[in-house]
Amino acid sequence: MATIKDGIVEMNNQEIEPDDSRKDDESIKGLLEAVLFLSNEPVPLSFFVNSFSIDPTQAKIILDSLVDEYGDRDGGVILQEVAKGYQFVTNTRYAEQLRRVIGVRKREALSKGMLETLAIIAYKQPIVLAEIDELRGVSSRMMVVKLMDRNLVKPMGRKEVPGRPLSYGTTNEFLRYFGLNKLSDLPKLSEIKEFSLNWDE
Amino acid sequence: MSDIEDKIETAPGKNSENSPILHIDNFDGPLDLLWDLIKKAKIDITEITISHITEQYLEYLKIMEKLNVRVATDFIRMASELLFYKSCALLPAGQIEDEYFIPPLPPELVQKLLEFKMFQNASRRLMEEYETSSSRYARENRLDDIIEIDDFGEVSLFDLLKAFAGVIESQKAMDEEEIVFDEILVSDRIEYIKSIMMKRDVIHFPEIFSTKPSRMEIVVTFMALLELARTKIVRLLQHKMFGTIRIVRNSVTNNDIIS
Repeated sequence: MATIKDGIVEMNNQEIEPDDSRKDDESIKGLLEAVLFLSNEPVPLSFFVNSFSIDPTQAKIILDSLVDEYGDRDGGVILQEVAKGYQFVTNTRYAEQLRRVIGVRKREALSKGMLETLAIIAYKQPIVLAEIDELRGVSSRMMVVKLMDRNLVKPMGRKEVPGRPLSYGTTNEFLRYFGLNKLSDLPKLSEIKEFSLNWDE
Repeated sequence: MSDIEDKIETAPGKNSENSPILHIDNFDGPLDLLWDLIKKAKIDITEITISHITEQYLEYLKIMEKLNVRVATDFIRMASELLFYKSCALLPAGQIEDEYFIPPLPPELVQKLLEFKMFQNASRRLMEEYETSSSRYARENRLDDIIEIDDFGEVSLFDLLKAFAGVIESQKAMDEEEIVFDEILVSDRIEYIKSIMMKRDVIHFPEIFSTKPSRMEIVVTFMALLELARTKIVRLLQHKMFGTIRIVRNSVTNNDIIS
């Protein structure tokens, strides 16, 4: 039996029904849907592949079709590809009412300085503190510490320059926080406009 | 300078001597300020003169000082950097023939500014992403609770008393201590249990007691629990026989727990 806990997949048995690898798509789809329904964390593709001995391509096709189905339905719940996994989340349309009635809380937003620092780390990782300071023109140590406290940023290792300073990068939590599936889903820097030489802001 | 003065005047926080405490955050550092100054001059960044911008920058620092602001070192550093560039520009350079040549901002500073601005905009984009993703909620209950909950049935009064006896028993094993009379009110304990239940839907029976409960505390807490169960604020569930009793908030329906 496989358990999902804190996003880490632990396998007790290697395969559940090794003989029955050619189950029909509909029943597998239902199974994957049920697992996703119960999970608190984004469930990675590999979990399904390992637990139910499904072919990765097949699993991907099924999951994507589930994503589409929920997207087309546009109901209270949608299936989202986030933080390298799949997860059921509520439709943004109902956020306000959910906050009011169920009492779910909005996550605390980040300050401008924290966001700036985070953007630099996200695009330039791994990056050392001195480089962040240079880009922002102000000391950013406190910002990095605060971001680490919120588990959005983590040390990635040391840079082989004098002093061997720590370099920083973003975490999986960062992806979840911003609803991104992978780092390459970040908006391309070159696509970010408003950054032109004429002042039409 | 009106724009900048506006920014200062709208700065939050005034102390009693009526001298506003300006937060440097209005400008997110010297680069932000520099960018703003260039923008206000409505001159292309590659054409603006170093002397012009240095003058403006220093003027702004003066205003900040006048307003009792502890000017952050980063701002001062940028000022000295600007003055350095300006003085470099004053030195006669061999190649330049045109005596009316006005030195522009050094390319390294322009580059720095543009890069800074790019990341500032990137952070704005991140903010938008955040706005969307923070409006999506995912399930947050613990999977363990879902899996085990099937084994729990309703609890009889007898089971509850047995659990109560268990706590009393553990009390006996403790060392003797000085008796401090401590008034514990049932209403306080009710509030305490409710406060735990606010955060979690399901708690175990022993959790409502402190680690070394006094007899008084045990009795009062138990009474509080009975009261909560009677008024149907909580329900009590127990694993088949002699298991740990679980206290479940009543607003959580069976379906909520299982699904």
